[in-house]
Amino acid sequence: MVGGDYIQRNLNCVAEDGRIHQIAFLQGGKASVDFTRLMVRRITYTGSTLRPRTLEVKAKLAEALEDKVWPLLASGAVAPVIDSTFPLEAAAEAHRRMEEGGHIGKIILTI
Amino acid sequence: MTLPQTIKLIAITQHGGPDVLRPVNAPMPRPGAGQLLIKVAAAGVNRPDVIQREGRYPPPPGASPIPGLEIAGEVVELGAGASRYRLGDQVTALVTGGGYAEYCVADEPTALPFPAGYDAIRAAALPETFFTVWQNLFARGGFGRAKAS
Repeated sequence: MVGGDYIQRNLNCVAEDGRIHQIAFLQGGKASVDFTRLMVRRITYTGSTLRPRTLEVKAKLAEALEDKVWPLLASGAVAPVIDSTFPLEAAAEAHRRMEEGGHIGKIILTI
Repeated sequence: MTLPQTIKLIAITQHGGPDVLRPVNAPMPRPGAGQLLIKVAAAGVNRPDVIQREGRYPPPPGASPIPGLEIAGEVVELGAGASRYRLGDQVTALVTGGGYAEYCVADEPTALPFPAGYDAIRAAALPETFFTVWQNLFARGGFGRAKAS
C-alpha cells in the first residue's frame, strides 16, 4: 500500500515464488528500484484498484463475499474495527483524523 | 414514504485541505435501471476520498464527483428491474461515489444485506475493505492453503 521506497523493501523481503499485490501508493508510484530479485526469486508483481472495475466484476466479488465472508461476520469470527464516527456535516474533521494517521480502524460518517 | 426533492450532501468545493468539504443542497438522486436509492445512515471514509479532495484522483468516467465509496442504509426506491430487495431493507453497498450524502444510488449487485446483528455504522465499514481484500487476496491473488510441492 505504501509505494515509494517500500517498493524496493517489499521486493527484498518476498519469499521465493512470492506475490506482491499493490493496492495503493501512499508515498507515490515512482522509485528507483533494482528488479533483479524479481528474477532470482521468481516474484510475481501485480496490482489493482477497485473503483473503475466493471459492475460484472464487482457483482462477482459481492457474491463471493456474501457466500464466504458474510457468515463469518454474522458469527463474529471476523469483525470490522471502528476507529471513530463523525456526523456528515463534520466530514472535514473525519478527513483530518485520517490524514493525521493516528487512526486504527474505520472512520465512519453518520447521518 | 414521500421522499424529499432536495438532499444535503458534502461536496468538494475546490481541491485542497479538509475544509474544502462543505455541506450543500442538491437534487434527490434517482435510481436508474438495476439501481437502488438508499437513505444513507452511515458512510465510510476512505483514503481515495482524501486523494480525490486534493485533486490527485479524479473520479472515473460516469462516477459521481461527490466523495464516498461505501454506504449503509435503507432501500427507499427501486430502479426498473431491481428485484432482489424490497423497500425498507437494510443494505450496505459499494458505490463509485456520492456516499457522503443523505441519499445515494447504488447498483443492486454491489449491495449486500447487513450481516446478522449489524448496525449501519458497522455495516458501512465493510464494502471497501472486504471487496478490496477479496479481489486481491482471493480472486486475483490465489491466496489459500499452501500447496504441497
